Amino acid sequence: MSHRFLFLLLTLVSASSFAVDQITPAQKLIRQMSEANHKLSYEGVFIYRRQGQMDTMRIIHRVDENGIQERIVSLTGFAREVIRDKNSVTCILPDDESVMVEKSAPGQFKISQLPEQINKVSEYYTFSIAGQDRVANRPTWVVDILPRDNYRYGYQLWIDLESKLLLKSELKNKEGTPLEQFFFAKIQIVDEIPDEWLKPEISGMGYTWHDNSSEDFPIHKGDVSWKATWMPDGFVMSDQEKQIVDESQMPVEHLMYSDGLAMVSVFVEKLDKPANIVTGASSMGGVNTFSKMTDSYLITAIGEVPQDTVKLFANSVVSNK
Amino acid sequence: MNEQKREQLSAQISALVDDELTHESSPVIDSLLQDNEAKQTWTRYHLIGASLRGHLPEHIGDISTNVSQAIASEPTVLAPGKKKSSDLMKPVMGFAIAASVAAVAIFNVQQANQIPGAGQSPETGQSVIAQSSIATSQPSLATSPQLVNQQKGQAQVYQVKNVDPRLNRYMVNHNEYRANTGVSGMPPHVRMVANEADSNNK
Repeated sequence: MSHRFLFLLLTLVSASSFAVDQITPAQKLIRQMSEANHKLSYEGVFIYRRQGQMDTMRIIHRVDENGIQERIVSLTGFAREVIRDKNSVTCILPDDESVMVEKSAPGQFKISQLPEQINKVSEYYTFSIAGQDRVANRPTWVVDILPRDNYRYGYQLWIDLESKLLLKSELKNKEGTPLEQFFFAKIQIVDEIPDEWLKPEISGMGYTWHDNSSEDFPIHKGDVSWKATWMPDGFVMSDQEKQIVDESQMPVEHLMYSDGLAMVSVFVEKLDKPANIVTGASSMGGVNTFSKMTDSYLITAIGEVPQDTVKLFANSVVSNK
Repeated sequence: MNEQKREQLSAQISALVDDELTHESSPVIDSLLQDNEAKQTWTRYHLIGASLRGHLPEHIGDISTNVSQAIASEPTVLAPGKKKSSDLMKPVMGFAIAASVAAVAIFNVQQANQIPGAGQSPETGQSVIAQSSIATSQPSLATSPQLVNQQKGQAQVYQVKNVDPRLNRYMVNHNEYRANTGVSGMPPHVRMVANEADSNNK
């Protein structure tokens, strides 16, 4: 290999790596944070706080050749539990005396990270490192993500200096008021997690099972019969799926829209008895939902975005058949 | 699974339903989790148990109507209202809360209809819907109905808020995909695990 060719090669390599380095240090930290979650096993206790309520939960997060397996158990109030692996998500709801099993999202192994069009995300949010702090006895970076318009929420992320794991986060509205908070009280990064830690502790009480994990409805590209016709700038349809669920036996369309950070899901479901459905707005922590009936279809938009945004999403959904 | 094993498992499920097995009997629970037929057996036994204990409503078809009426007609306040010290966020309109109650009722109806002769003679109509007395500008929308359950001789107060199966299912599916999209800010499904209810066991 001639020196000239080698020089050319090196120039190309450094040029391309320079392009990658265009991302800001804050964005780089967020990418490392996503990678850490796909590489490290850990166990800890965290607090989840919203709307003046608090819950303490234990999380067990195992990464091995089977991908991510995760179990979250509430340590306060009802012992709700969610266990997920590459196949399914099992929600055990003792207060509801029910167990709900849903399919895992495909692509769980993909490392989620800021999308390729990273500069595009910067059009809708600003990223900055606000400084350092300490969470669960570990020094952290504090990263600020602020929305540039009223259609999105902002985030503040506390990222472990050493492991790059997310140790604390706040979801904030445009005014900077926290809508919900999540932070570890205690976390240990471990090499191995015993199987027992991932097993449920269901009691002997009566539960009803809603198992939607086995049903699958093949979907072909371009087969979507519903779509949102309005969305904030920067949102694109990121994924779509169709499911048959046991309650309705009708396919439910699930359309996913993302601006690279936030995500809004739109569900469209045909109902046999639409009379019993109450539509309108509701919220669950930082998640807002808005439902409406169109003919005999229930259209629901859900997302970590302001109430107006889900409402506008839901109201814009039309059948494209 | 062969026939004998299945019978054995059915017997164990029956024992589990009757609380005769401790929850340490994990093989049974493991089988339950893995086996669809076992799950159905489990549900069936529970329905049978519920009907035997008179826990199924008398007029099954009426329950959703009763619930709606109960919500509409401002009954006596049996439960202390939940304090909404909304230093984090103001409650959004409570449409879904009422929807949840209706959903629970409807779901019970569907279950009960699967059993011939079910719901014949329950004397105890213990479930009462009360409304908490939170002062709001939109009383019809933002009050939180609470299901007061007095079956066990002691009042247990559950706030029925998060139990709409449809909305829960949407949430789980949303969260699943959320885990792979953008920055979610926390582990997926935390909101599902979160107790919306104040479980005041008094």
